[in-house]
Amino acid sequence: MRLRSILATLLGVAYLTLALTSLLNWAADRWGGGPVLGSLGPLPAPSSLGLFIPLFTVGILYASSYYYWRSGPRLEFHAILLVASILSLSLSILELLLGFAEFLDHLVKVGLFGSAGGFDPGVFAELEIPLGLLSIPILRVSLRELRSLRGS
Amino acid sequence: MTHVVALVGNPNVGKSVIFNSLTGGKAWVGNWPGVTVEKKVGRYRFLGREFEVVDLPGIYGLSAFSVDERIARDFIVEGRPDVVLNIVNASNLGKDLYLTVSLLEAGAKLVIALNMMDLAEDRGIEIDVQGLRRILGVPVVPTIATKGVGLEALRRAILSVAESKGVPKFRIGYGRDVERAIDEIKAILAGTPLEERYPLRWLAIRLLEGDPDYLQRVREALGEEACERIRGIKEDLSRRLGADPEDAIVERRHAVVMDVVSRVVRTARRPSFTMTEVLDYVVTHKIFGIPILLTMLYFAFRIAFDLTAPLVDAIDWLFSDYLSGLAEAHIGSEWLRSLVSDGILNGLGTLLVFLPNIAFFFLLLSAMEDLGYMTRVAFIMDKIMYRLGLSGKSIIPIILGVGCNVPAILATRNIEDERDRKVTAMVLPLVPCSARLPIFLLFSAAFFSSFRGAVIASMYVISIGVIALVANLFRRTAFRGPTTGFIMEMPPYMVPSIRNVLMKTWIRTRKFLEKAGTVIFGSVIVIWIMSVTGPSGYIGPGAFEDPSLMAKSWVAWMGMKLEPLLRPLGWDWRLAAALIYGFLAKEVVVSTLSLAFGKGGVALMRELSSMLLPHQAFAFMVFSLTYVPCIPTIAAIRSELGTKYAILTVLYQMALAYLLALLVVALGGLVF
Repeated sequence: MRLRSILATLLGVAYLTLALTSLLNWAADRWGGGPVLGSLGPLPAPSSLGLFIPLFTVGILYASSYYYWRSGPRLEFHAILLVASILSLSLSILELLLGFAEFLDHLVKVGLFGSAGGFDPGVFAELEIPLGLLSIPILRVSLRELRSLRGS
Repeated sequence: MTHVVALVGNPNVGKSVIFNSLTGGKAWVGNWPGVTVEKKVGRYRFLGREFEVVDLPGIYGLSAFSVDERIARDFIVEGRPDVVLNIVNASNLGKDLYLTVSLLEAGAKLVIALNMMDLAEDRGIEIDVQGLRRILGVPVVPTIATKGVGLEALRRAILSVAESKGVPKFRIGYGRDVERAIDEIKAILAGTPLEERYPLRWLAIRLLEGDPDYLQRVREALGEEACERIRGIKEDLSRRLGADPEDAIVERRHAVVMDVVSRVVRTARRPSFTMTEVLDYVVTHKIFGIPILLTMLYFAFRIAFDLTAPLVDAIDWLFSDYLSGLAEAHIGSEWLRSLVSDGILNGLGTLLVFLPNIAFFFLLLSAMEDLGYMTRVAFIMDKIMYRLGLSGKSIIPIILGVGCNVPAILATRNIEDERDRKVTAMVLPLVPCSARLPIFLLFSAAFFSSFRGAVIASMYVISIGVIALVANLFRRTAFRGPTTGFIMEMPPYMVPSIRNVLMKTWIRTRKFLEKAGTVIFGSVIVIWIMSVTGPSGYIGPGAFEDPSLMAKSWVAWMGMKLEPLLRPLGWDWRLAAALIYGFLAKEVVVSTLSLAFGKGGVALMRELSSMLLPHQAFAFMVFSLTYVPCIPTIAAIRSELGTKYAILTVLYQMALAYLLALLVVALGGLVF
C-alpha cells in the first residue's frame, strides 16, 4: 500500500511536471520564439495546449491519491488510482495510435499525392507512452484490491 | 400478416439495443401524430412471420404526466399491438415492475425481457424467473442484450404471444371500498361504445385516479351526467378512505410490486459497493469531474480529428485528383465538365472530405452514450447550468444539440416550466451542431494546424460561455423567475455493444450523407449556376479560374451587398456569400467557399490562409458558431414557440455573432 502510494504520487508529480512543461512550451513557442524545454532526457518534451488537459488530469488524480492514502479510506484511494491509471493508459494507447495514423498518412501522401516529405519516427517516443505503461501495474493492483474489498 | 410489437420500458434499460438487435437497426423515423416526439419503427422476419417493432418513448408508468407517457399509453391501450415487449432491468426489479403491472392492468399482451442479467448477477441478485412467470402469467425471458444473450428465446416468446388469443389474467385487488367503486363505475360504462375501446376495469381505475384525458373521453361519449356520477363515486370513495383514491391505488400497486419482488428476488451476497459506484465516486467528483470531462473531450477530438487524417487525405485525393481528372479527361462539353468538376466534385468533395471526422465523432458520441458517460456529463454540468440560469433539464437538449439542433429543440418539450423551455429552445442554436464541424475543420486546418484540436475544442467552450451569457440575460429580463431542478437516474456503466454503437453511428452518418446528396447537392448546383452567370449575363466556367470574372457573378453580387458590413472583420465578398448560403444548411458554407475560390481541399486552405490573418479566421469560426440558425432549426423554434420567438432568435443571434466577431478581431489585432 505504501509502495503503491509512493509510486502513484511520483507519477502524479511526473504528469503535473509534464503538463506544466507542455503549457509553457506551447506558450513560449507561440509568443516567445522557441520552447522552454526541448527534451526531457532522451525523449522530446511535450509542447501542446491540448495535451496539457489529460496530463494535468492524470497528474492531479495520481497526486491526490496521496491524500486518500493518508486519510485512510481504501476504497476511494483505489478508485482514484483506477481512474487515473485508465486515463493514463488510454493516453498512452492514443499516442501510439496517432503515431500509426501519422505513418499511414505519410504513406497516403507519398503514394497518392507524390509528396516528398519524410516521416518522423519520434512520434512513437512521446513521454506519455512509457508513463502510461507504468500505470499498468497500478491498474492491475487497484482492480484486484477493489475486487477483494468488494468481496469482504 | 404482420404482427405489431410495441417496445416499452423505463429509460436506460437497453431498449434501443434490443430494438436494433431485433430489427437489424433498420428503422423508419417519423413523428407521432399531432406531436413532435420521434417515432421509430423497424421490421424483422422470424420463422416465416413478419413483425413490425414500434419503439415507444422511455416511461415509468401509464399515468400520462408527460407527452411521452401519453403516447405510450394511447398506443398500448388504443392501438392494441399484438405484443407489448416490456424491457425490465433485472438489477432494479422493484422500480421497473411498476410499469409492468400497469401494462398488465391495461390488458397488454405482454412479454417481459428481463434484461441486464449480468449486472444483476454482478450485484449478487438472483431472480426466480419461473416464479415471476407464474405470478405475472406472462412469458419472462432473461436477456443480456449487449451480448446478444436470450434474443432467440425472446423472438420465440414474441411469436408465441402474438399468435395466442388469450389475455393475461393478472389482477390487483385494491380492497373492498376501491373494488366497490370500480364496480359502480364499470356499471356506468358497460354497454356503451367505451366498452369496445378500453378494458372496462382499467378505464374505471384510470377514472378513479382522476385521469383528465379519460374523463374527457367519457364526457364526449356519455355526456356530462355520466361524468358527474363518476365524480360522485370518487368523492364518496375519498371520504370512506380518508385519502385521495389516486394515492391509495398507487400505494397498493407499489405494495403488489414489492410483494412480487420479495417472492422472486433473492440477494445471495450483497456486495458492499458496485464498480459503477467506484467509478462514479471519481468521475462525478466535484473537483475531478470537470478535468475528467475535458480529458474525455480531448480524447474524442484527437480520435475524430487526428486519427482520421489518412482517410481524410485519401478522400481529398479521390475528389480533387482522381475524379476531377476523370471528369476533365472524359467530359467533352465545357459547361458540363465545369458543372461536374468545379461544381459537384469541388463543392461536395470539400465537404465529404470531412466525412471520416464526422463519422468518428458520431462513433465516439454513441460509445459514450452506451457506456453511460453522457448521463454523467449531464450530472456534472447540471450544477453549472443551474447557476447560469438554465434548468437542470436543459442539459439533455444541449447534449443532443451537438448532433443536430432540430431534435434538440423538440426535446425541450420535456421541460415542464414554460420559461425554462423557451430560454433553452432559444439558446440551443448556439450549440455547435455537427453541420458546423466542416467549417471549424477547414479553418482550423488552414490556420491552426499545430493545435487545431484545441481550436475546435475552444468552439465548444465559447459555445458554453455564450449560452450562459444569453440565458442569464434572458432570465434577468424577459423570462424572470426561478429555475427548476430535476432528478436524474444514473444508469450503470456498461461495456458498449460494438454492434449497437456501429448502428447508431451509421444512422447518424447516413443522415449527413443524405443531406449531402439532397440539400447540399442541390445548393451546389444552384451556386454553380450563380457563379457562371451574373447581372451582365452568362460568364462561363472561366469564372472558376479567373477571380475577376467570378467577381461579376451573382454569387459575388450577393456577397458584395453584405461585404461593407463585414469589411471591419477583414472578410471579403466570398466569405460573405458563403455565410448567406449557410442559412440553408451550415454545411453549404464550406461548399460555397470552394466554388467562390474555385478551389477545394488543401488548395482552398492555402488560399484562405494567404488572404486572412489567424484572428480573422478565428472570428469567422466564432461568427459561424453563433450567427442565424439554419432554416430547419428556425422552423423547429417556430413550431415549438411561435413566430415571435423564431424572429427574436434570428435577430439576437445575428447581433451577437457580429459583436463577438468584432471583439475577436479587435482583441486579435492587439496580438497579431
